[in-house]
Amino acid sequence: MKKLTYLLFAILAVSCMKDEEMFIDAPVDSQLEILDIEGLKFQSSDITDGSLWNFKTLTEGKYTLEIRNHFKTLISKNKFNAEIGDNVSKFYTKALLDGDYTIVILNGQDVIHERKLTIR
Amino acid sequence: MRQLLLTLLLVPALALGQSSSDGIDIDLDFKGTTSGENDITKIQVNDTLVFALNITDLNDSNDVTYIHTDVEYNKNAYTLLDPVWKVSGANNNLFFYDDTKWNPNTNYDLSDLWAQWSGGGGNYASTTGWKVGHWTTQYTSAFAGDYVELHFIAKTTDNSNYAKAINVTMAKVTDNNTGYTYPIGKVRGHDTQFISQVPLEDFDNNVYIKVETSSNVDATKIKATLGKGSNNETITTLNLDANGEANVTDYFNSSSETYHITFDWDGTEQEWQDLKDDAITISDAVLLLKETGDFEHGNAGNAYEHPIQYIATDFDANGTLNNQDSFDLLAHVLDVADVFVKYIEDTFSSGFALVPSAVYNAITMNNWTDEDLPDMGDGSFSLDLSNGDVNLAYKSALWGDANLSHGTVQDNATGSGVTYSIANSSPLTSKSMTQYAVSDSTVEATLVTEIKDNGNVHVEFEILSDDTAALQLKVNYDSSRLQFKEVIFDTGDTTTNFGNSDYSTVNMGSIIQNGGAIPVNSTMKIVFEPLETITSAAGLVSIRNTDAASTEGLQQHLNIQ
Repeated sequence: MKKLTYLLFAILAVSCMKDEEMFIDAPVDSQLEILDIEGLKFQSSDITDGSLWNFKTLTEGKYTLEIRNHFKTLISKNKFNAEIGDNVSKFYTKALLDGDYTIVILNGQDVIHERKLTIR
Repeated sequence: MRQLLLTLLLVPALALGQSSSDGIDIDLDFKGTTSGENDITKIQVNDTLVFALNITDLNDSNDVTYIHTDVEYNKNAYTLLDPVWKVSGANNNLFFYDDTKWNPNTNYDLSDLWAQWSGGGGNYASTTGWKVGHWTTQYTSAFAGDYVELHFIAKTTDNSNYAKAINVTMAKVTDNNTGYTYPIGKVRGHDTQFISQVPLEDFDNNVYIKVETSSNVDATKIKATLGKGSNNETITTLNLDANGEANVTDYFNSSSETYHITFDWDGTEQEWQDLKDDAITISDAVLLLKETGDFEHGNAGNAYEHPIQYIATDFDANGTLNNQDSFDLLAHVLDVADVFVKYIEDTFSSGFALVPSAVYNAITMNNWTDEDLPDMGDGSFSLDLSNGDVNLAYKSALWGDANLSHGTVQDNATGSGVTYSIANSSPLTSKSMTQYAVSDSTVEATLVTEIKDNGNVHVEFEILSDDTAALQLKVNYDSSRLQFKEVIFDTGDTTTNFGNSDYSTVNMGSIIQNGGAIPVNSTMKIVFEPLETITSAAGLVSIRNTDAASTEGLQQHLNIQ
């Protein structure tokens, strides 16, 4: 009975947690490893559906990822929470046309990283 | 094995040709024109054609030290210039029989050139309009290859003059050093014994198709099928380049022929659907509502300025624009109905008009109704090749595209060197669409994607401007990972909202039909449920296109921050 109570509490605790992005909890692949204390890295300069990317920061908090097309027009803007250290997650491409894009990471209004990438 | 392959390859060549095999072959070899054209099918009147009488010596025992060859030609087709003798140091001789033509010796092959003369049965006869030349070269040493060049100027395109208009009739070949004359069967006209090619007209310019399309249309997806004659025999099919152009000089090169062009879509079905979706948007609906007096407070008839707009949006083709047309277009934008399916066929050839510019510009406010449209007959045309480049100019408009965002405006520009049958011609004054249908104003807005409660993905749009009466967004999403749930609007009490999704695109927007402004800070929020565990929202949604119209009914640019 005691075990059952613990289990129910555990389930309740998990279900009541604030929902946030779930970063991939695994050793950082060498392709995504960032030697500097902060940075942004993609598996390659060509992004395919489900490619991983790593955002490394010293400051926990909410950041913005912008995707701008060849003409620098904003086509997608995504807010995400980042923890201190590596934040590895997937990049999805099925809603995007193939082409050249600029990926911008902002902290508030400040641009902290900018990369030109090809999405296929 | 190698020898077997060589044998197999050689057998058909030997069987097909009429070579002397171990004697002398004499080839009437086209060397090109003096202006550098090497394709005989492209020779034109007034070109100087160069032919060589070329000797191939296939005999190992004897040489060629003497040859004479008779070549007859049609004087109505060609003018013969002085020959160019090619064997250095040789004795050369040329004489003619005027108004003479060879009657072949039917006992021997026509290509058996020595038999034709020596075998008896053939003869030269008096024939007006023909002339025979007798080219002789004699030398102390053996020679082969080109021994003389014949230069002819093409005179006419009249094909009745060109049947075997240059023809090798007979030849004699001797090795004087051994006293050997190549016998019957061993002097052959091969590979080419005669020429029947009819020249094209004397035209040193080009014929272009020039389709004026909006920069929003990918012209390379349009293919043109070229035809000729009363039965529209297909010549070829080609794609336009990115500028909507194609050089068709190789296919359209006669001023006496009638031609046709048929345009069709060469993109995918999805690309055709995307073209329509991008072209027909909320500002088109607002413009037509304004034209029919259903936007703001009436004042109908002051929105359109090009008659082609009336044709593009008179869906029921009753010769007038009315509420039914404007509500049809609004319903189309709202994905309630489809003006292609309802009124025409959902195909490029049915919904995308590509019209000769002269006809397009001749459509007026007085003649735009179905019954009175300028008559372009069956679309056939002829060319005037005597006056420089010919431009086959076309303009384009899309069914339902009220503001011509994917079409072209009417103006005075017309094709040059093209004759169409046009019943009515009163060109309009050129005027850019931007002068009346599009304002320079910008709508400021934000759009943010975020993973929220229960893992749902929210895409929230907020308008920051205060002079927009209608707006529309199309948002692509990854339907393999997200399921569309709903659009939640907070846009005030007087706004008509729409939000729905097809397979992977959400179409949403708002319109205040009385011309009022959508309240500042109004929001639209798309909610998606994830179909799998999502680690971030990066790339899951993207803006496909946007459109907006001001409180005055003018198109606005949506600037999403």
